[in-house]
Amino acid sequence: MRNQLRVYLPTIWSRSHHGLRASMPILVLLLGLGGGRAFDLSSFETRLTEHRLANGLTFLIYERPEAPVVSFYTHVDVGAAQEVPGITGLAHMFEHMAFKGTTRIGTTNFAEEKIILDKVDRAYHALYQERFKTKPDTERLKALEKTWKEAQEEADRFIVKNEFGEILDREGAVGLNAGTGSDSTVYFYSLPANKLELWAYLESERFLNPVFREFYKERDVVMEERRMRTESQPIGRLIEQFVATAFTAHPYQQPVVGYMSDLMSFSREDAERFYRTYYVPGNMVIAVVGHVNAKEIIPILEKYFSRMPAGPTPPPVRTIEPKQTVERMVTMIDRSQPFYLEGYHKPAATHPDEAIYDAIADLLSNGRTARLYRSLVRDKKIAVQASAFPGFPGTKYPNCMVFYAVPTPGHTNEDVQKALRAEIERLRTEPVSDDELQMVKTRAKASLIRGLASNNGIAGALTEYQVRFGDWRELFRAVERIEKVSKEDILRVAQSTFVPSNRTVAMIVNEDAVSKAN
Amino acid sequence: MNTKLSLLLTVSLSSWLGILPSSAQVADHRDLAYPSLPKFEIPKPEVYTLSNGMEVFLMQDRELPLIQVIARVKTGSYYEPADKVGLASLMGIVQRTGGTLRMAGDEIDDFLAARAASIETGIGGDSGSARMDCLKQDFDAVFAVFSDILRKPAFAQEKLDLAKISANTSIARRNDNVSQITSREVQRLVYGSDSPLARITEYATIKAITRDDLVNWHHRFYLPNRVILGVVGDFEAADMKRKIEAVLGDWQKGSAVDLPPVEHLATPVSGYYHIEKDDINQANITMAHLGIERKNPDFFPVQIMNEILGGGFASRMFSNVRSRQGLAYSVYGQLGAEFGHPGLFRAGLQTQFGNTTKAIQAVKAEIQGMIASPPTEAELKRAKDSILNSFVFNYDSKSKILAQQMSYAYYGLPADYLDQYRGNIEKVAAADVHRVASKYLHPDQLAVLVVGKAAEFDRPLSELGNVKSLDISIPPPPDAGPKIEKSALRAEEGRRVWSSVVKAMGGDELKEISAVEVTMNSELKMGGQSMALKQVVTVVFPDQIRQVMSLPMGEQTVVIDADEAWALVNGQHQPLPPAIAQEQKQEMGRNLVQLLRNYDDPSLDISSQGKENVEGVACEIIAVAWKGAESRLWVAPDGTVSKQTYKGNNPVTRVPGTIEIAFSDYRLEGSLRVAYKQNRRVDGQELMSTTIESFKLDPKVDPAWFKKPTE
Repeated sequence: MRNQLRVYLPTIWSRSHHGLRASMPILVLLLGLGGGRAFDLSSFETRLTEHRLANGLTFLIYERPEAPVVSFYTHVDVGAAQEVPGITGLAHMFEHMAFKGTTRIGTTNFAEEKIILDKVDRAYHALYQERFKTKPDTERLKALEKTWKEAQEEADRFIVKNEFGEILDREGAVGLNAGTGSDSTVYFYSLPANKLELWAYLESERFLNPVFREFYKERDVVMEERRMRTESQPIGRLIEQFVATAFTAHPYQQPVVGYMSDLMSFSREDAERFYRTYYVPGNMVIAVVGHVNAKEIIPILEKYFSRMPAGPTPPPVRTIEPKQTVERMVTMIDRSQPFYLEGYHKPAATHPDEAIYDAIADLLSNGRTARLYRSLVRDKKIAVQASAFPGFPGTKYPNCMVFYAVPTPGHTNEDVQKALRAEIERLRTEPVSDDELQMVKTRAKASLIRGLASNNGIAGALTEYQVRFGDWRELFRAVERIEKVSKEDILRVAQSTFVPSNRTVAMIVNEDAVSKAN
Repeated sequence: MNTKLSLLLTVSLSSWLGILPSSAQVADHRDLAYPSLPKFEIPKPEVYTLSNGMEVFLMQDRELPLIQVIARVKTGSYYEPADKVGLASLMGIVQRTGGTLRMAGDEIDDFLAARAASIETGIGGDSGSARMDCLKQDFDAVFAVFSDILRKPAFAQEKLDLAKISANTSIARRNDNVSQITSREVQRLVYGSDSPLARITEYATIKAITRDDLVNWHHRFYLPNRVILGVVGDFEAADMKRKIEAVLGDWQKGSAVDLPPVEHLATPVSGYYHIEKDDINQANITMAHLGIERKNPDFFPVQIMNEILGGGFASRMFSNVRSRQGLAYSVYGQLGAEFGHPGLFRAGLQTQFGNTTKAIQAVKAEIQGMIASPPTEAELKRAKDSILNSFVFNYDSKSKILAQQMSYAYYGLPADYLDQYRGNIEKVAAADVHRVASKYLHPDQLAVLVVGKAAEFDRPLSELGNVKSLDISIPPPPDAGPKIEKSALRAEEGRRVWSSVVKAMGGDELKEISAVEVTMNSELKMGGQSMALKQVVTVVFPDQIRQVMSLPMGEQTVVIDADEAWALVNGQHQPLPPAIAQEQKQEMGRNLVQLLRNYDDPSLDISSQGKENVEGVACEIIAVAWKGAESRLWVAPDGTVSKQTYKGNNPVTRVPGTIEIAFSDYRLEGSLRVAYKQNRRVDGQELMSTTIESFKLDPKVDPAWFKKPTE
């Protein structure tokens, strides 16, 4: 559905969402591939135009005239990691509000609507004041709630429902969606190539003049999203506990969707403050990929997006997760079947060792030759799935490498833990084979090429690397780094990372198994 | 120029300029004029047929040095036998993992991984597939393996065993995910749980599948004249044709197998269905009835209707149920169409428990609204524009076009189907949409399924209509206990032991027992804690039980009658799930007093199962089966029963296991010997130890106890 949260387990499995990010491409070696077409950085670069506006907004335009369509991808360098207690969930909430229209879209009369929206704000403020009193007056609360609800209904009269999305639907947009993660908020869709100007108009309006109408109704929708993804999913519940335990200080400990209490409390003004702080042009990168000509479209981009005023650089996250010194453990006794996960702290994606962690994850998890598959699934038959994931819950800040396994019936978390640990121990003690290392490198090259087959995939990868590293070319340089990964690198990183004091274990224990065991 | 004039000029200029960005420079979206779409020739695949009947589609795509091959095979899980559900799916998995006559499965894994290539196979409801994806330079080598997998899979037994573990894991976990429960159960309701469209794998059906079944299935369906092959990527057509001929040309044609029509329920199963699940925090609601077939000419107006009802941001469902009422994050409503059988109309959402019936009514209102209020011209235009303006995305990649063309060929649609589609969508009028809504939407025939915690619903579902509880407990594997050995000799030996039991326990007078009342104190152990439990159980033979329990949280009465079972908690009646009632009936068939009352019933099936010591006492084991309920008895030399075991569900957790009751401290009550101590274990773990406080033979029974309370 719309406005998906990129979080929780699906994220673990969906790294291919950013196909190129995962693919760690190496281009130089591809020059030798048949057909004579080179797929190196320089050939890619001839089709890519980087354009920066005076207000700091960066565009990456990639010309791919395969079909008369174009994909747009706006990457804002803000995520749940920018939240503090009390406003958790706000980055995601703003993402929802970015579909609610502007001063000109979604309203029958903004001037009049504005008066009522202010009234809603005042009514909510009064209610909020009362609610957080030491001894709230129940009667007064009821009355204030009524006033607030009535103001919302009044505001409803001016609303043209979902006009923003409707315009795009009608004009033939596909894949209209957005996502919020710990590190980033992304907005994307594709249009027929002749409607680029419609996108330029809507996307600039959306971030220039957003109106947070229906804020409190949408807050209800987000609460339902929390109930659906976290509270009603055993693995969702476990992951929330895992990050809360693995991180004791850094905001990665907070759920992207937010705590229920915060969702029930934050206000439209909180969201607006958040927007003003982080949605400044210098904090955004936009990719346009498809049937376009950079020279022709730059004037259009200038015309629409230059209207956004430059703003101060958003404040950094100051807190650094302290070094973990004791092993931590979460056991969740649940109706569900068992599930095992363990995580180890590791550096941010910008650290030179990132390629080594990527190589380790690939070696352990990718396909039927992966070490975890062969050991836990094929040979020991104690798990149906076993995998490693190199960056959770985000990669911008120091994060966790996560291993997980899904036990088969009759096998326990302890069984899979033992087998997982044996594989981790192998990484620490035995050099990987030449064949395995070569396989990882070959696979990286191939998946780069595969990633180049989709406008949306290219756009997502370009913006991600531009934001994270300040240069989209890092997408290609990451390849050189993985090509250089050696057996010694893997031993070194495994020995320093995979130690008990750096570990957090989280597991679902089936309640019946508990009652049997006792 | 004087200062004044200059100032004036500056002001007017800037104010003029100030207007410019909003009115002239940046238009309202309605004022935007779009250039025409760049000229674009839709690429068409080259299509030809091999002499063995295999249809081939070639689509050149030189952008990247990659080649993909896709084969579609006329087969499907709809055609597998009912007692082997899962056969087609397992064949589809083991075809790839089980290797070929030339290469073991693990070797293929290494071979492909070294080339960053992939080959995957699978079988769905109405078609099978095989796909490969490789770098152009590796095509020849990978294609040879692909062909072997398609034509000569080895189906290694060990890989079948591995796939079965995975299938059994899915069964064990199928109730962990609420949306999986909802979509599975609603299909079972509407199509019928025996229909190939809805039936599910069970431990028993997986167990029944053998390697021979896989081999036979492959032999029957995997023939070149049942295959459509597509190749897309960086190749020369003539060269590719040669390679295909060389690798697949000698594959021998086989005789055509006609696939039977797929059976399903045709009558509506309207009503409310509830599945209790208390480890979630949202009611998961789906309502459904039969939809239409894909080749129905009304398919096109139905697409427009779907767009208006539940497609995208401006749809009625999204606007009203999500945005206006804030009832759900995800809400949907679509009339489905399938090839060869009707799809499902499905609508639903997930909402907090406190909004359950409100949300059901909100969704129903939108469905009814589709019939009551025909689409406005604006809605019609939006829906058409949305489909037609995005039409170019049907052609935005060559592999997508190839897949479409193969799909049209597979289902017998013309190659220009997509062009016809566009024309047919353009033709749809508001009246057509209204007509199909009235014809195919039946709000009164919906099966409404709600998964959630009933105690927290805003109102009971029963206020909306008749409610049926569904039991989704997972049937245990068929071979969960030691096999019962049978022979004439064992029967004779068993009879002998049984008669010693009858004699020791009370003799002829046992037949006269009509009811018993037992007051007992138990200690229940679960989750590392123990709980005291006092019960008074009255059994009226043959099939009535009344159980009054005193628990720390209050008194609870459970009544089981011949056909029905209910509980009385704090003066409130609630029906017991059918599965529990069923279990209790089975229990009645194993109840020792029940068996003894019927000791000479000819249908009582007894056989000796050898000897075993119980706590140092040599016991004879007999298997006893009566009215479908089986158990084993360990009989002490004095004829008393020391132990009874059977396969059943843990009464607390409902997990299947071996239940064991150890009897001791026998005392005489009238003509009957009664064990005053009874300890229950499940799979060897202690569950409950019980001491009888008092025992009454033929107590006073109030007939009102067994009268089902009316609401």
